[in-house]
Amino acid sequence: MKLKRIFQLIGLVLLVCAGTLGYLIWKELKGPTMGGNFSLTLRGSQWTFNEDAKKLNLIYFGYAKCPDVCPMSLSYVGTAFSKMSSEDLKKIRFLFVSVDHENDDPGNVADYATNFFPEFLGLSGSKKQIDDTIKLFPASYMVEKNPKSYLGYSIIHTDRVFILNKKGVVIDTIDSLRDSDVILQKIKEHI
Amino acid sequence: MKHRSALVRSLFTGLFLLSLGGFAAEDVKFMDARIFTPLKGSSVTAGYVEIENKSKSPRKIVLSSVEGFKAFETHETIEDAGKMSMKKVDEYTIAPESKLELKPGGKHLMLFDPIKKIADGDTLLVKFKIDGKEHSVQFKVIPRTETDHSHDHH
Repeated sequence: MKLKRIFQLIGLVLLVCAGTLGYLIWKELKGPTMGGNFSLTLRGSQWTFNEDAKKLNLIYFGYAKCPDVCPMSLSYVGTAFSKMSSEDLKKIRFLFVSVDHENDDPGNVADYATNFFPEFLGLSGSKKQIDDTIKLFPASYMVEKNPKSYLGYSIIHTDRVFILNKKGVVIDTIDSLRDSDVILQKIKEHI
Repeated sequence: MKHRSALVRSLFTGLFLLSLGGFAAEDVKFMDARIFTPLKGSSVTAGYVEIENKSKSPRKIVLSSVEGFKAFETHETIEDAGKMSMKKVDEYTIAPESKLELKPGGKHLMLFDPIKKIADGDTLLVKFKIDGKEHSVQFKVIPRTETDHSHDHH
């Protein structure tokens, strides 16, 4: 009777181990699941990620009337890009996506992005296009009305860069956008 | 004679009160005052400065005018779990004998709609009210993309 209980216990432990191992293998084989293809607007024309993706693609969500955080983060990324070789620059693309569909137009967003590096793409779109895009990533935005401010609103948004492969899958995230060398190091790990 | 001693007494009382809480220009020092050149594609920019309160009293600082912009406000950026939000504030308070740094990603002057051409190297007059008294500071206009914001303090 006692021996039977021991075998039952060993069986249970083996079952738990096999289950855990199976889950880990499945997770490893499945790979990262965030990201995907999306369509937005570039200077008035439709722009689709999988038609123009490079080996490595970086994406950031912000807005052109953001006075403090967006230009700071983008200028660090721009500085990182300016430190890259021309060979590496051919393999990489940076996408700035405006989440301010009410106030940013495709022209001003595209112009805004090039302030930080000439090859940066500034994308905009309808609310649906922006929402369909941002939900692919661990990112979000929220428009906060502020009648006491001259602008009348501000936008709470994620301040992170997502690194995507050619298929648009998120392969890494740059959480700290306050040091161009850290950003460059992250890029070099994947390029 | 009586009048003269009363006058001297009043003068000393005034000086004493001033040392307790009154504002003297040399009590508050502004350093590294800068405004980023407005960017193509955007109608807003920001200004930053380090303010030192040398007095033994807290100081309330209110932005009262900025040359070259249609509107101006004081704001604070707040980070919460990777998300950034901005809050409009009416004034900044600086504790006695301490410094307040307006810097990217934190407290800043938010400037809207330039009403004249603003270029790198310009200087713009910014006025603050410190405990009700006006104080002018020259802000230097610098390019946003030139540095990593690791600004040297003068």
